[in-house]
Amino acid sequence: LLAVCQELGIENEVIPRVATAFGGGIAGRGDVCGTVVGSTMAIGLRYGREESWQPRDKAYALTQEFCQRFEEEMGTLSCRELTGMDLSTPEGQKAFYASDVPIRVCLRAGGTAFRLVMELIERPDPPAADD
Amino acid sequence: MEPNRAQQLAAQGYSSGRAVLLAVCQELGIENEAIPKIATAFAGGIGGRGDVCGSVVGSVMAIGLRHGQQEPWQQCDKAYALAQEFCRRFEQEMGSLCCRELTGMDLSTPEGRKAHMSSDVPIRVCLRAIGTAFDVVMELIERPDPPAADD
Repeated sequence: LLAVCQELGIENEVIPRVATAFGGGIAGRGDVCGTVVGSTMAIGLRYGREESWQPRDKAYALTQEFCQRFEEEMGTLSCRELTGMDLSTPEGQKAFYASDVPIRVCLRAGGTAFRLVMELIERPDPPAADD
Repeated sequence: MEPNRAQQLAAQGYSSGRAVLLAVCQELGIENEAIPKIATAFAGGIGGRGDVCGSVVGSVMAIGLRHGQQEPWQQCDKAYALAQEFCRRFEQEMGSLCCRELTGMDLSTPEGRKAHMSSDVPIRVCLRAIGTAFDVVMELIERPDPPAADD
């Protein structure tokens, strides 16, 4: 999230604080990978709605495309499946940090997410969504 | 029962993630141009994919805003502990964190979304999830002195 905002020149006191508890899924629970959540936030910042009457189709379409492509490259959106580890316990976290997973998996997920989301956000004229 | 602030926003058309995040920020007096825009695509899970409920994501964002880290060296134990407690309590009250399981519907297609909107699920499930998320996260965020976390 911070990387995309730096890239786009968005400075805001809530960034990256708002994404704090999305590590290891939601606070270690192993659900959706934090890089996916951060990317979806970034798409919202760029194409999201301030008011309810504004359209959100573009943010939705980009998010769906992002998820599809992340899944293609990384195999899954899920922290548990990506890492193959349980980050919900102190023992699990210790084992995680002592392994090569942070570099081999998480760093790659972060890099993939950043590359994909920047490409999608900056794409000048996206093809019309089918739905 | 009187609808809470998040439910009132939802009734005005705010989707789950935006309703909860904006309601908490209004309650705490946080005004920021990124709010609630940053939560736009968290409805029906992530962009309609049916994963974690948007009201859960909005709540975890709100916890980060209040107790999160701005710099990498700052501690984030409190935000993590609160987010975990939030998830446990939401799960206890609603049965699941997952949009697909909560709604029993597929929101990833236009047909699915139409079926959702013409059913009683938005009121019976989503509005309740939004209200529950807001009540739980406000209680956790404002709790003056949380008991020491065991982990």
